Formats: sequence, structure tokens, C-alpha cells
Amino acid sequence: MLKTNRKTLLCFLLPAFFAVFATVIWPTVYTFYLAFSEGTRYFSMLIRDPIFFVSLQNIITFVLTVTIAELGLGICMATFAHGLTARSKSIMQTIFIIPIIITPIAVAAIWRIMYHPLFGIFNFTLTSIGLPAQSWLGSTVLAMPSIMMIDIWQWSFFFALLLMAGLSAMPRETSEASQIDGASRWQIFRHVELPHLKDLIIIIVVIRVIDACKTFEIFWGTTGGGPGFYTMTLNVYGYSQTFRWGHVQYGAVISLTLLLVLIFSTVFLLKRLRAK
Amino acid sequence: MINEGVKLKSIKKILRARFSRKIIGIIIVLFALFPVIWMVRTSFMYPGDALAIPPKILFTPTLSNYEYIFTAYDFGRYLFNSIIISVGAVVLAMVIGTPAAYALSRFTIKRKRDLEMFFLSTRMGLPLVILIAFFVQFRMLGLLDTHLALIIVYQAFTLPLVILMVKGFIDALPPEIEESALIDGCSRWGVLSKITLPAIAPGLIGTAIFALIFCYNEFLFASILTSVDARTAPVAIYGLISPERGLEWHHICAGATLMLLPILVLSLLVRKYLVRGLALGTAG
Repeated sequence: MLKTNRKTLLCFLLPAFFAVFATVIWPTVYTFYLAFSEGTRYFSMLIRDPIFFVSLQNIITFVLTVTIAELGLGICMATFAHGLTARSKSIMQTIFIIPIIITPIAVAAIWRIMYHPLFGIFNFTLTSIGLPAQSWLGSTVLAMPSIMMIDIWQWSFFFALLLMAGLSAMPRETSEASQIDGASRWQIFRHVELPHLKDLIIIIVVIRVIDACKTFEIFWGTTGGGPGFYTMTLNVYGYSQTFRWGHVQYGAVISLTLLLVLIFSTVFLLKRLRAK
Repeated sequence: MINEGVKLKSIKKILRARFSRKIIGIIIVLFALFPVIWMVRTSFMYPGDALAIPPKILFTPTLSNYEYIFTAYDFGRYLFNSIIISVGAVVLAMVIGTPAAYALSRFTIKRKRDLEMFFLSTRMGLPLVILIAFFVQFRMLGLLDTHLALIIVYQAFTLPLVILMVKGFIDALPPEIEESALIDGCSRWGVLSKITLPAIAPGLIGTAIFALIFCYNEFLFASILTSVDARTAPVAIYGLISPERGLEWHHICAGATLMLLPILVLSLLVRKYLVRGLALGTAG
């Protein structure tokens, strides 16, 4: 590489650097200021707030469950699609893109309709085979799993698409050789394909964990945190405190807690998974 | 006779494998598309049909839902806002981000690794944290409910994405042609515009559409930073879910289908680059 003129360097990089600073770094610092401008007052409010702890628990459960489920489903669908003919694979690829590109608030609305206790398709199916209708979004037990299902539906295909690409990039000789040697499909997957995909899987999981912490629309558009506070997450809670109930500074503290959760999970994941 | 027995068994095995493969394939496709098909179907139904139990397979289709959201609900304007804002945000991000991506890829810079880490770590920027700060400041500056406000705020997640993806494309390009042009006296800007950009043009388009989808579908920032003038389509759809309006499913589905259509067409056109973009966007 040739040496670069200093002025050119700045010209190329400075606008982006400035834009990122102004739209990400500075707002984060400002929110810190909002949260702690009156000392630790809001922080002590936080640790005495039961809803805060419920929200924290909910987001952690949510992120863990959906990531694992989406990874599992994604791997299954990717390996299945990988074994198809080129034309079928291409069709699958197109189909897999569709859930991902629908705006999440509409996804929330559609699933809310399907979950409707009286007119929804799920309860209709249940009652026609003699099972009792469920209150999917109204039951304290079912609400969270129902919302998790929405996320799993939309993002499993994200894993599937990327893993399909990863599998396609793998040299075929090794799996074909193993197949000739008599290995079963499962054995081939475990000992040949999986190690190859390990790095890709780590990256996708980290990305998905970060994005799962940020999940908002499917909670907001279905239950808004209810019933009671059973589906309240840190994101929805911070948003509600700030914009629904007007407690801007308290909402700021809550949002920073979520930021902490996000940073810790990412660092933790990267350390643990890279070491493997 | 033994040979024939063996042949029959293996034929049966192949048929069963092909059969179960088709079944699994159909299950997966249904899993992916069922809610979408249901949504599109409902958008063409009269309210009575939409709510019908058991669900109607045959029904008289209607365009009245689309008519309604355009006339009585002004959805056309909200869709227009969404397009303006997302295109504006992506154009800005591409203009700022492409040179930066080029610099990160080609230039020798002191502490380049740290710089790359800087841009990458912004992925962990939490939208809610950023939203609260922008809300307070924009309120003071009177910038609420403007298109510009969202175009600026959307840089927070669009710009890092663009930089990452474009850098990936530039990295994959062999630098020899650029280097010989530089030796011949071409400026860095010249190299960028006349050599690099044309070479990665498909990748640039893929990146732009990928970023466009995120801005277009965005709800969180739009819900707070807009109200009447700059309201976007996702916010409008949420407005249809409010309890006062009752079960307006047919309208909601019409709005959602309408939102999906342009994005679907775009995605299919650049499908190749979308998947590659997804891969590059996640590769660190």
C-alpha cells in the first residue's frame, strides 16, 4: 500500500467519524448525563423497583431462549436446504428472506390477530380438534412464550440463510468422502460440517444476541408489557417510563441498564466462544 | 432373486427419502409463509369475511381496504414519508460511509485496528439510549416531526452497516489496478470514483438496498420523533392497532402488504447480494 496524504486521509474518514460520534457516542453520553444529573437518586429508585427486576429477568430469558431456538431451527433448515437441488435451494433462499423483511410492527400485528382468543386461527385449530381455546397473549403463563414464538418465526430464517451460505462455501470433497465411507447424515453433520461452521455460528449468535436485546416492536405491538408486567422487558419499560409516563430521567437509567446487559453479554459471549 | 429383493428395498428407500424430503420441505415453506399468506389474503377481504370463523377459503375479494387506507387514513402520505426518509438516510450513509470504507480498506493508518473497532462497537449502541437523548435535544431545537431529524438519527445504525459492508467488498477487490493508477499520478478520489466504485457497483447496490430495508421498516425512532408531518408507514400501521379502533384487521393487513410489496420486489432483484450482504454484515 502506498503512503497516504494526511489531508486526503482526513477527508475520507472524518465525516464518517464525526457522524458516528454525533449519532451514537454523544447521545449515549448525554443519556448518561440525564440519568445521573441528580446524583444517584434514580439509580436507588431503580434497585427498589420490582418491575425493573421483572423486566431484567424477562429480557435475559427472552434472549437466551430465542437465540438457542433460532440457532437450532436455523441449523436444521440450513442443512436440509443444503441437500436440495440447486433450483430448489434457490427457491428456499427466496422464501427464507420474506419473514425477515416484513416490518416488525406489522409482524406483531399479524401474530396478535392470529393469537386472538375468539377469531384467531390458532384457537380455531385447537377447538376444532376438541382442545380448549387459549388466551395466548392474555395468560400470564403463555404470553411470553407466545411472543418468543413470533421472534423465533421471524429470525430463524436469518440463521438458516447465513448457514446455508456457510455450507455452500464449504469444500464438498470431505463430506462426499465421508458419505462414501458410510457415515450417516447426522455423523457427517457433526464431525465434518459443524466444525467448519463454528466461526460463522459464533458471529451470527453474537449478532443475534445483540439484536435480541434490542427487541421492541413484537412486545409493544402485542401486549405492551402485559398482562400486568409479565412480558415487560427493559427496552419496553425504559420506553414506557420515558415516553408513556413522562419520567425521562428514570427511563434513561433503565435504558442504560439494558446497555450494560448488552455490553456484558457480548463481551462474555466473545470471550467464552472464542476460547472454545 | 436375492438381487431383485435388494433392488426393491433400495428403491423403496429412495422413494421414502424423496417423499419425506418433500414433506419436510413443504412444512418449512408453510412455516415461513403461512403468516404472510394469511396477511395478504386478509387484506383483500371484507371485514365480515376477515373475522369469519371458521376461516373462509372462498371469498369475494375487494380492494376497499386499500381504498380506505389511502383515502380516509392518508396512508399514501405515510408511505411516501417512509420512502423519502429511508432513501435520504441511505444516500447520506453511502456518501459518508463509502470513502471511510475505502480508507479503512486501502490506507495505511496508525492504529487502524482501533479505528475499525470503533466503527464496529457502535453496533452495540442501544437505540433506546440514543432515542432518549435525541428526543430531549430535538425537542429543544424544534426538530421534532421533521424528515431531517430521522435522516440524521438513522445514521446511527445505517452508517456503521454501510462502512462494514462496503469495506468487505473493497477488501475482496484486488488492489493492483488501483495501485498502478496511483503510480501513474491519479488522485485517491480519482481512483475511488473511476476504478473502485464501478468495480464494486453491484455490491454497493446490494448494500444500499440492505440498509434501505432497515430504515424503511424502522419503528422505535419513528414512533417518538415523528407525529403528523413526518409520520412513517410503520407508525401508521401501529396506529391501526390501537384499542379504540377495534378489530381493523383488514386495514392493518392492507397497510402491511402495501409496505411489503416494494421491499419484496427490491429484495428479489438483489437476492444474491442480500445474502452476501447479510454474510458480510455479520462477519466482523
